Amino acid sequence: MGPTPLGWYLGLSAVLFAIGVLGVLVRRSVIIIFMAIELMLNAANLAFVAIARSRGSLDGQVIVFFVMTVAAAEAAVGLAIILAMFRNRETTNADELATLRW
Amino acid sequence: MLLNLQVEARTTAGPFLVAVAAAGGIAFAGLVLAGLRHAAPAVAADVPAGFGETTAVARALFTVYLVPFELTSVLLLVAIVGAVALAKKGT
Repeated sequence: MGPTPLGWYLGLSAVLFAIGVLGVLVRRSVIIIFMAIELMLNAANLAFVAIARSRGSLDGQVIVFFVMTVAAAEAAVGLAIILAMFRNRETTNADELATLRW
Repeated sequence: MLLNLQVEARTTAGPFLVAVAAAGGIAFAGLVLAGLRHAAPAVAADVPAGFGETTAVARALFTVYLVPFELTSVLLLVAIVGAVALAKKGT
């Protein structure tokens, strides 16, 4: 067994991204949707790292740090929004949160 | 409560949607497999010893990407302030 070919990493990344898209489309709990978004971000991270290793370039690894930072910021703000929504509406069901104002 | 485990209300999709979803899933799987077979012979290049070590990554992070690195600090600060402002009680 030599080094794992690049295609397998990219295939896993595509599958993870698809699971994330499916989660956003299918699940109705806001927190689960949030987790699916994070899964998509990390699928992109996996592709970045795999291609960086394949090309012998460090740029991809550095970009992953920025993606993780943005993901952290998004998680903080998103969870705060979910918390505020739950305080106001007593629900985390995305279908019940469809109104822009009430 | 917010984090209580609860059974989601499942909505049943019609047979048409199920067929479309199955076709899409199969098409996606075929796409991924085709891409894999196309890319499989390309064995990962031999990376030099020590590739991806913290020293090299940190050097790139603090020289070439210094400005984006500093901007992320502002982003994180804004995110923290926004999160606190949003989650504060009794607004």
